Amino acid sequence: MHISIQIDASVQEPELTIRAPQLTSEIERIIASLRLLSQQITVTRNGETVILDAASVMYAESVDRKTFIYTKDACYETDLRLYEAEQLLCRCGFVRVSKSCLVQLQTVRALQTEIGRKLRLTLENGEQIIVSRQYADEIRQRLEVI
Amino acid sequence: MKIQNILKRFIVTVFANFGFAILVLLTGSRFIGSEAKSFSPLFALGSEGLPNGVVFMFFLGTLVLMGIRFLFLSDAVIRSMQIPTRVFLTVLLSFAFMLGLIIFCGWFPKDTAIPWIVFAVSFIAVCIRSTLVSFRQIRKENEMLTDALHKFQNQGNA
Repeated sequence: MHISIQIDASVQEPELTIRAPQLTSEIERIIASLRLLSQQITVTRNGETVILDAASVMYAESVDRKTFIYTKDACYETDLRLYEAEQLLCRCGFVRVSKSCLVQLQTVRALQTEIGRKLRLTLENGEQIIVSRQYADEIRQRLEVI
Repeated sequence: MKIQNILKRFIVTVFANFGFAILVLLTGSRFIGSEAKSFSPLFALGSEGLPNGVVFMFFLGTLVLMGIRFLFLSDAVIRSMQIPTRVFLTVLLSFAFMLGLIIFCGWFPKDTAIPWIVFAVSFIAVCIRSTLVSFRQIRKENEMLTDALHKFQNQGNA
């Protein structure tokens, strides 16, 4: 892939243009990666409102109608419902792994098959998440192993 | 998975295994039935076929063995159990059941060593083979998933 960078002082805002004969999965991933860098999510912790980069989020979980956002070393709460967080983050590489959990695939350290076609995800911080059969097949499709 | 699908899969597995077992027994009866007739009720009809009671017992046996397999080697009933524990319990209970069935039905003389040795060796061989095949499949799929994940992560983000 050829990468060219043009520095032009007259340009008001950085602009990225991708030129390709067709939209491939590789290009889609690059676009998702760029979105991840620019996507932010508003969360709260101990009454303090924080704006997090989506790239730092490992997973989001819904517990008792509350949505929690987990980074490598902290847990935050957001006013968004899980499906709203999914809409916001799905283009940034997040996948649904159960009815109550979204995971960013970039933060997955290891994947293992479990009995009944389920998957066990080990995240960068060592936490393990079981992916139910329905969502495991979607992840397999996303990783192009089906 | 819907309960109908689980039941359908279970019934298909039971009949597939039962059919295979009967085929093996009929082949045995055809070739060694006459000689085995004197010491095993399995071959009471010699090379003429299999007694109804034996066929029925084999069906019940297959049903129970597949039930044990279904109970421990799928997540339909027991949802959280480590794979080695599942394999161990499946092997243990299957062996105990087979042993009970042989003794209860008197399929071969209790005081003759050779049939017991053949049974034990066959059982162990089948267990080792199926365990190795399963573990090899799991390892292969894990490697594929890991490669796909690394490729996915290296190509950018999701």
